[in-house]
Amino acid sequence: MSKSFSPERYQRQLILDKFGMAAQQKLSESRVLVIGAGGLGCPVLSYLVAAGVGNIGIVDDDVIAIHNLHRQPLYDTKDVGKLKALTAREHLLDLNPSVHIEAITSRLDESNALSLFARFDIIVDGSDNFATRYLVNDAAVLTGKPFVYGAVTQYEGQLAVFNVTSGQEVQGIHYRDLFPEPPAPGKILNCAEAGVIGVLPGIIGIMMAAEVIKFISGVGKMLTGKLLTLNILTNQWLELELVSSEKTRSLIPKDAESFARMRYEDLCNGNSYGISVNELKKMLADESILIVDVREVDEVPEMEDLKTLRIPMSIFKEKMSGIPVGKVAFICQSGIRSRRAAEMLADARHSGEGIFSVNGGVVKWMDSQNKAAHV
Amino acid sequence: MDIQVFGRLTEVFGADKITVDPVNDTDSLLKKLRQDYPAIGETGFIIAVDKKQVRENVQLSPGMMIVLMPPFSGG
Repeated sequence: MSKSFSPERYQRQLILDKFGMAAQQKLSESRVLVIGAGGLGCPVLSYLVAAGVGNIGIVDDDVIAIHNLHRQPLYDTKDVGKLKALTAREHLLDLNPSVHIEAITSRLDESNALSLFARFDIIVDGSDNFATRYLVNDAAVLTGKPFVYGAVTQYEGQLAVFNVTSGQEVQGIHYRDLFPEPPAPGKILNCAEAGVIGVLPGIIGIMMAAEVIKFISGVGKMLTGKLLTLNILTNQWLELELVSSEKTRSLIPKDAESFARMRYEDLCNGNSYGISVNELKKMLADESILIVDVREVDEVPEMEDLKTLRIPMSIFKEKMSGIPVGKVAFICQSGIRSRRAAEMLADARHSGEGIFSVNGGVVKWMDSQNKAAHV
Repeated sequence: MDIQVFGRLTEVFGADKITVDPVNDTDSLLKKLRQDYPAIGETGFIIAVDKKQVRENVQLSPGMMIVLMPPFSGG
C-alpha cells in the first residue's frame, strides 16, 4: 500500500529533526481505525488526516445532534441529523483529499469487531460507553492490535496506550489491567448524563492523535504502561504507572468463538428488554404484539413462520416513528441489534413499557422451530 | 493521611481530596474506606501509591501520595 504524498503539504513536519520523509512515508502507508466520531473522535480524525495518515476507518452509527456541536467542531450546524461517520468523511476529505477514508455506519459489536480490527495497524477508542470500551479492549487483545484509549467526564480526561509491548514485557498492559470488570450499570455517568466541558475532549483527543503518530512514525516515547489524567479546572496532570496482571488475561475471551458469544451490552447495562424465544411464543399466543425484524433486507433466513415488519437497522432511526403504538418485540440475527432498537424506541417513547428484544434472535427462533418440528 | 480521588469518586467522597486517620497498609485503608463509603465499591477504581498502581498490599508511611482513580466513560 505504498502511497505518494505531496511534500509541500507536510513541509513543516518534514523539516523536523527525527521526522522527515521516512516518518511521513510510514504515516502515508498506515491504517488507523477510529471508534466513535464524537468528542474524542473529531480531533483525533482531524489531526490524523491533516498529518497524512494514509488510510482511516471511522466507525460510528450515530447521527449528529445539536448538543454535540459544542465539542465536535468537525461538524457544522447544517449537519445536524446526518450520520457522523459519513459527514466526518466528507469534511475530512475536504481537508486532505489524498487520504483514503472508510466510513462504517454500523455499530461495532461482537459480530464485526475482530474482522474489522484485523484490517488496521492501530485502533483508537473514542467511544462513549463501557460496553464498547470492553469490547474494543478484548478485540484488540485477541487480534494483537495496539490501541489508544481516551475517556472524559465533566472536567476530567484520561489517556493511555494499551496492548503495546515495551520490550521487557511479554504482553502489553490493557484496559482490564486497570478495571477488570465493568462498573455496576448506571454507576458511572456518560457525557449525556454528567456533562462535559467542550474543550476537554479536544485536548485529550489531540493527545490521542499524537500517540498514534508516535506509534506509526517511531518518533518519541509513547504513553505505554501509563495512565495520564487531566483535570482542566486545576490544570493538574497526573501520570500513574500501571502494573499488568496474569489474572486479568483470563477475563478476555480465549478465542474468536468465545468472543462472538460475549454480550458486552448486557454485561455493562443489564438487559431489561430481553425476552427468550419461549417468552415470545407465549406472548404471541396470548396477546397482540408486533414483531419488528431489524436485519438488513438481504439477510437470511427469511422468517416464514413469523409475521414481521422489516425495518433494517441502517434506516431504523428515520423509520422508527412509523411503528404503531402498542407492544413491540424486536428481533435480529442474534439479539444485539434488536436490543439497540429496543433502547432507541424506548428513548423516543420516553418509556420502555411494552418494548422487548428477542434474546438470541432469529438463530434461537430457528433452533426452537427445528426442535419443535422434530419432537 | 491524604487521598486524592477523581471522576465519580469525587461525588462519593464529596471532595477531590479527603483526609483519613493513618493506617499501616493499603488493605487496611481500602477496608476502612469501604466501611465509611460503601458506594466506592460500585465504580471500580485503581489505587496508586506514589504514582504507581498497587495490586497487592503495600505498607503506607506518612507523606505517601495515595490516589484512587475510577474509569471515565464519556467520549
